[in-house]
Amino acid sequence: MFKQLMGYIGEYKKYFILAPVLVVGESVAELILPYLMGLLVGNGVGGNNIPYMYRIGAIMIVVAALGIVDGIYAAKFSAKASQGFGYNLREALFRKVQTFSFADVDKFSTASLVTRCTTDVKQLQQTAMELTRVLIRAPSLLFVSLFFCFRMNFRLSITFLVAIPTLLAVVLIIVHFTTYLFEVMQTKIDNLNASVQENLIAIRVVKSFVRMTHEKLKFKKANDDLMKTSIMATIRLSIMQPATMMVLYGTTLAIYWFGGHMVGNGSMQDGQLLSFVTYVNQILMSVMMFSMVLMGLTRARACGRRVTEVLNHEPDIRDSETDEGDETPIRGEIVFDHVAFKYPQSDRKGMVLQDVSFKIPAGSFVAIVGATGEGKTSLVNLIPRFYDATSGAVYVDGKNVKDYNLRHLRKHIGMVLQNNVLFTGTIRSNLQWGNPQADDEELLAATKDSQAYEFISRFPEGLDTQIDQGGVNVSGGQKQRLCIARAMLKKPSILILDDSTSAVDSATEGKIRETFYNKYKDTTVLLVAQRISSVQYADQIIVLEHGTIEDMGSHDELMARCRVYQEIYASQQEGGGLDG
Amino acid sequence: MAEKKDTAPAVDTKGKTEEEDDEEGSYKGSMRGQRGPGGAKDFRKPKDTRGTIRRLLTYVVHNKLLLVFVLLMMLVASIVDLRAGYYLKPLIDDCIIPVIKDPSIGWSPLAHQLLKLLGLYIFGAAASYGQGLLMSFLSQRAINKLRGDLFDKLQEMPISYYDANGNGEIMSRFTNDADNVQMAMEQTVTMMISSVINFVGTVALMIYLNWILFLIVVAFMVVDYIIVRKISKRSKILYKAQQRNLGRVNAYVEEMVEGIKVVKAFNYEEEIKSEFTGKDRAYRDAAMDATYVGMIIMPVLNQVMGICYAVTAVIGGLFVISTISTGAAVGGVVFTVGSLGTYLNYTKRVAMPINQVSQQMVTLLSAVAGAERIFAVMDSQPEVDEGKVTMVPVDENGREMDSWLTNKGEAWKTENGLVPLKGHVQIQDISFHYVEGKPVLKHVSVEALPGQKIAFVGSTGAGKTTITNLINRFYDVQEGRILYDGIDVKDIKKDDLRRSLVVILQDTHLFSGTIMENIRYGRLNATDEECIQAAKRANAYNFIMSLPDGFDTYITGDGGSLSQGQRQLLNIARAAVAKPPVLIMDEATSSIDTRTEKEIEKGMDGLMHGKTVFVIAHRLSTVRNSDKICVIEAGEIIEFGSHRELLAKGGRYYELYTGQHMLE
Repeated sequence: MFKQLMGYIGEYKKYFILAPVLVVGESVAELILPYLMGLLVGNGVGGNNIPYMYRIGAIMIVVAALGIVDGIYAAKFSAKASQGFGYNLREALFRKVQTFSFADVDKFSTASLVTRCTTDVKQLQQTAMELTRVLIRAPSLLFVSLFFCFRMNFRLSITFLVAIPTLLAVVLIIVHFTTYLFEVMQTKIDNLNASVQENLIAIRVVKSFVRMTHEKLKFKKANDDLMKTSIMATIRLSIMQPATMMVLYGTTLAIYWFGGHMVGNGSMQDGQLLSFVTYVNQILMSVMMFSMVLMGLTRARACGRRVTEVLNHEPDIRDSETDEGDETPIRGEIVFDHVAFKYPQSDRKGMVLQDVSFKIPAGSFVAIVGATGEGKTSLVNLIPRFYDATSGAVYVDGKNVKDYNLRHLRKHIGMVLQNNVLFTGTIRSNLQWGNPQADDEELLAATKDSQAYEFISRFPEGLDTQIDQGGVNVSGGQKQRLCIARAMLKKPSILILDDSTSAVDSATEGKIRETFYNKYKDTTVLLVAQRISSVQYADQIIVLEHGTIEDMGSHDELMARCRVYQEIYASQQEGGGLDG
Repeated sequence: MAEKKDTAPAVDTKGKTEEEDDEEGSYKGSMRGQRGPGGAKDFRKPKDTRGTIRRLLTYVVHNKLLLVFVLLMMLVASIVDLRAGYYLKPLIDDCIIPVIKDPSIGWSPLAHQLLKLLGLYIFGAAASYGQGLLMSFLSQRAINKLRGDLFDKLQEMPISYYDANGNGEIMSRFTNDADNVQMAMEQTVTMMISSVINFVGTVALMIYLNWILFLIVVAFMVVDYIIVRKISKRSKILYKAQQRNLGRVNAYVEEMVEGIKVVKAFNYEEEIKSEFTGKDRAYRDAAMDATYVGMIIMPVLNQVMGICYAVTAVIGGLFVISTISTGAAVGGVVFTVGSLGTYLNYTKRVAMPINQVSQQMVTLLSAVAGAERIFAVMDSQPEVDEGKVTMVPVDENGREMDSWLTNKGEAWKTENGLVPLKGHVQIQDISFHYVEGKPVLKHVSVEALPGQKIAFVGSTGAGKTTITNLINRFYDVQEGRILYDGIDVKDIKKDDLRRSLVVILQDTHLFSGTIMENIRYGRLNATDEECIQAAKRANAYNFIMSLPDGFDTYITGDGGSLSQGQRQLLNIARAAVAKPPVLIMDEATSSIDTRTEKEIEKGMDGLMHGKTVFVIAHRLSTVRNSDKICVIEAGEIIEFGSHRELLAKGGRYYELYTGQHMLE
């Protein structure tokens, strides 16, 4: 996994190499100072050699100054390396997600895909920075310090060979026994927040049932539970500080004792003992720092796994290899041949669609009715190949949709989805999704056809009216009409409207329908609806019941023979066909 | 279907509360502890730092003695640390160097000193351990209480509060703000206090060792301070730019991933990619600058102190030489090799606390700002309730009882005696507005006798839902009054008033838990059998039994695994288990297709039988059999009567019913 992620370093490779080199240089500069100080005190002060002291002092200043320059460049390269890596990774991820089919998106869920592209990448980027800095710095500090120590006094340095493994063991044991608890704690925090969210969303229910006390008790239970876990975790972790301190102190004592003897019997200078004591701190701190960063890597590993999972995911729908896509027009004949369908990610046992076969001639107007959850949306989603049929086949103009070049196929299909979205931008920029080259005249013509012109012209800024994210600043009905205009601008051969006039009143809907009849004669129109009033004038009406075709025919035919259709009709008739 | 409810008066106030730096917040999720480099993180400053800290302390200090004890241990640990560092000097000067000159002294003085040092070390470690334990205990308790108080307070807020603030904003009190406070309590405070102690102690010892040398350190620290200030200033600006760009990238990812189906339907992948790359590049460049500048503080600081170290070593060396050669002190300072070693060690350490404090300061300030926002919620005006009339249980003769378990009925207990609970609702000439100057209801009067069914029909935004929100007092009328069994609803205790009504909303909100628990939410002391009966009445029994665990099936959040219709059935079952005399149904069946609605109609009829019912519906089939129908337009009742009467009248209702005039 790490190997794969490293591939995204790409053109920032040189920074990834340079940054650690400079970091090592920086540590050397920092560590050489106590060593030089040892010389200065031992030879200079001890030998009463003042010029020597000046010389060493000057060298120390030069080293520190070089250290500043080195440090600045190390920071610069490290920033470039990590941010560049993050950029490459985010680009790759986003591009990958764009190749996903609907089924792939369902599999990961949009929320999870968003987190992977944002939070996870950020975490990995952070880790990359730590890699180039701390993960290099700590060991290099350690080794350079050890090097100087061994150089000064080999025998005394042996103390470290005991101290370092002891410290590592202490840290790792404590970490081992606490990480689990911290994970549990994090889950509990997430759960607690989720329950707050739930409470807030349902606050009207809570208030109208007067369940405030009940809710408070529920929250208190979860909150106290979290506190217990947190205290347990922190209690275990707080042993870390004194434990590591004791190792550090023990080492210091040993150095004093043995070092003192060496100084006493003349095998070591007093100045060197001073340097040694400085290094003890340095060495043991580096060991701790290193083990902490290693720990942090486990978190990055989870992010890395989540990111590579997306990167390595084979899109569920692959573009046809034989069809390169050309300008051949599509007439719009649709044939379903014994189609069965089930959502790939669903654990539901039965099929959503079962043995669906029908033929729609090019240019006809066909409606699909049926209760919620009977498979209407699933059916129309198979035509532009948003999903693939589980068995059976879908043909457009006699050619299996799987054999079409995807872009070519979708270019000729206009789709107004059930949960349609508008994007941040202007009305114009949203409409131009249908046809980027369309001028205002064409745009306005389409809005007239979709009955959106009237309200757009009431906006002071017309086509330049700003749409907020998710289109929250237009009403449901307005949004639907804009989405229809957007689809119409594609001048598609097949136009699919999936329950996309539900928020539009019947009169307006009727006008939109008329436009289809009069101006889009050559377009195959597929209308999914709940209202009988919306579908009764269609050439053909498909009645779906439990995922199979109950019947197909004109309104009059169905009224005469189809029980399900009659029932739907009856249930709406009393209400005067107001709404569905 | 996706009707926008007329209960969102505060749409235009939303969005204003968000601040620029909030962008990161929503993407933070469960990733905690991500701090910007160089300590730059969140620059929203608190308004009343002192007051907030004092108030926060009341959460930590539930036992003053304990806190004093913690502080004491903190002090001990830091002092031991300093004192131990100072041992170097006597060890070298008094125990080691004399041995060189006179080996007969032997090693026992050293051993003696080291044992003392060991004792000191153990003492220090113990103090630090005790401090850590207590501090984590105190901070966990504090944060627990803070969260609890916040949640409890939120349950007391009026509905208008939620409308005005939005769930996302309120949630961030629990996530970002509480997290920041916790982080600060657990780590920052301890670190800062010990940093300060360390700094003061180190400085004191340095001055004691050699005040002349200390002047050099002061000079370098001033240089350091100026550099750090300059860099952080630049870093803040760059960091803000980085966050702004990050916000843009994240928002774009979110929007496009959520809209991916449309992207596919329009073959728009390539356009999206190139637009994304543009935003991503801008972020990359901003982030490179910000990270770079943020990261140079540490090395620069370290190395400047390195220069200081070098200068001190040389001058200190001169001091030692002069002390040794002349035997006297320079400027009254006796400076030995041991002193020099100790002093140089301090030189390395003295700058550390400054950097630490400046880094922690940012965390601390953002925690205080978070706490301030939390306290602001706690200080906001809760739902006021001046009602005195309560609901009491009564026996079959209408006399008050003590028990809610064996009662035969309920009554209102007023100053003038008991009034039986019947469900007689009179709306008398009420007017209401959410926003001054924009009346939602104008002089509306309706009377519902016990057991009557009253329907409200009208366009979106006509004020239908508002009427029901006024009956259960989510909002209060500004003019006119509403009587319940002859008592002004303002005089009834809100909780009791709401217990006497049950509302079925269009949005079906269920809670994480089993189906049984969800139904029982309607009446907490309902038995399993009663819940099952209620499910049967609501026609929900069959689908529940088809679920893998029947009534014990665990559903999460908003019941995502159930269909909209099934959720609505549970919603109705929940209402059925509660047995109040008044029922309000706000578009309760609009999300169910017409045929399914037919099926649950029987259940609904059973539920409504004998109750006063207010129905708000889009679909006229639901309201046809009401006793009275009010057609509301623009906040006024324009037509009133039974279905038959209104049809005969040939007015707006007739138009609606015959489909000549459509509701949007």
